[in-house]
Amino acid sequence: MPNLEEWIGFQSVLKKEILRFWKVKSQTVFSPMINAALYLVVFGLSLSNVVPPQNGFSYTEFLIPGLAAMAALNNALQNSASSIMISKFHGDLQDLRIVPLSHNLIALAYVIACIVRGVIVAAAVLFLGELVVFLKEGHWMAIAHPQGFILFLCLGCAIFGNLGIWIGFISRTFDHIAAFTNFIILPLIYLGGVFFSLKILHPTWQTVATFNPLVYIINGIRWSLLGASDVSAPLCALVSVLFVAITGALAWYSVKYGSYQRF
Amino acid sequence: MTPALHIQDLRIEYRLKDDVKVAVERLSLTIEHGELFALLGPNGAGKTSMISAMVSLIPFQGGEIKIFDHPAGTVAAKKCIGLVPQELVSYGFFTVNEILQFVSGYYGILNNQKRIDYLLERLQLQSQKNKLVSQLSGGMKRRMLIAKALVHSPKILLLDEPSAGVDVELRTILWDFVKELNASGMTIILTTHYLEEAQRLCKRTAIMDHGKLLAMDYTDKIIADEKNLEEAFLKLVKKRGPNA
Repeated sequence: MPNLEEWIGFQSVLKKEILRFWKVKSQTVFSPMINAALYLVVFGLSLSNVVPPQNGFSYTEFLIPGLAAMAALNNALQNSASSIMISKFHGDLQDLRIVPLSHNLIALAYVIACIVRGVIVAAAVLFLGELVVFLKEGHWMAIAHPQGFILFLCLGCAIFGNLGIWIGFISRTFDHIAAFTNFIILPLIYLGGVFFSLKILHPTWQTVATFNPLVYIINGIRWSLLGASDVSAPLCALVSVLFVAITGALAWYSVKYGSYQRF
Repeated sequence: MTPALHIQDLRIEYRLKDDVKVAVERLSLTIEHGELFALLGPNGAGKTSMISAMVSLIPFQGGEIKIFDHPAGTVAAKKCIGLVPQELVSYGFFTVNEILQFVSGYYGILNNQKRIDYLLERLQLQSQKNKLVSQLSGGMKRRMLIAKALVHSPKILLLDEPSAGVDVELRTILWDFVKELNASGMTIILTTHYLEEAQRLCKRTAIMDHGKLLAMDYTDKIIADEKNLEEAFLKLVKKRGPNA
């Protein structure tokens, strides 16, 4: 169990990480909001009259949980990955190696900062979504399970924050981070049911989709907001917790054995 | 009395693609509490590798390092050390004061503003307190790094070429401060390429090259019959030769 001094150290790392993204909030918070707004306008407004209702909800309503999840997960990953990469370039990552702080607490602080950023971004996207639904359909979208929303959001952001730590440590340039994001993470997010219900897929592809961990996080968030999803909520929670553990081990290993040397 | 630093048979190697480069080999030295000790050597001698191993920045493959009898890398050992690294650090997003508060926190110290203000005052950085570190000049960044190394009042201060890029006037301020810290009982280990500074400040000196210790003694004894430390240093390094 960490002692008081270690908790103070943990708080300092956490505060620094939160302040870091907040100082550049135009890039870290408002930019994802604009992205989500564009998705809502392009897909939600223009396609909602063409695309049939999904899981009993209008396409705009169906889209909002997916967009909130996508924005939150992507930002959680970017938060830790880019923070570590920037620190490697600036040379201050080594501060964390030489101070008397445990690897567990350093990893935990980074991940919690990712969750904070993810939740802020998701809340902003949800607010925008509510506004669009209200303007278009004349009613506010009810949130079916608010606690579930927070839970799945935190689990998803923790998974992606952990992955971001790992990516930050193994990457040597920002191009490496971009490659991970563009070639692995984004396809998984897009194919994880952000824009469509898995039920419209061919059965073979439905089976393939079950191997995508993002399906469970996105559907968990969708269940929390709409009260319905393609995958049952307990299964979503179970898979999400499992992936938090797996990616958490990866993040811990990276913090303990990764290189803190400056590039 | 427990020595401030005890290194025994230290070996540090870097694994390259098809090769292993030995940076430090069978190096042993002991530095007593309260010493102001110079660690000298040409570029690539292994000084920074040794310092990096002391603060757990890089692993070492053989031997042992003890800081006040605590094995290097342990919490107790880490608390004893303050490091001023050779390379400047930018801290892009943060002000001088924010960084010093964060680092205080890393060492488990809350409400350290009084100490921070004292250090900024002594290092003539008070007016830069709320400026972004990235906006500081090289010399100011160097002094900020010294303040950062001292926020937790360490028992040992490792100064890895602290006067590089610092003008003469500020260097005087810096050395006066270092002497004051040493007089208060802090052990100081200094690496520098300004040998006249080492000669003036340090009672004992070690000279290393190619990862090995060439000499370690009282600075006066190392100088012996030579004109100054620089000549003694050159003689020792030349005697060893480039491929020794």
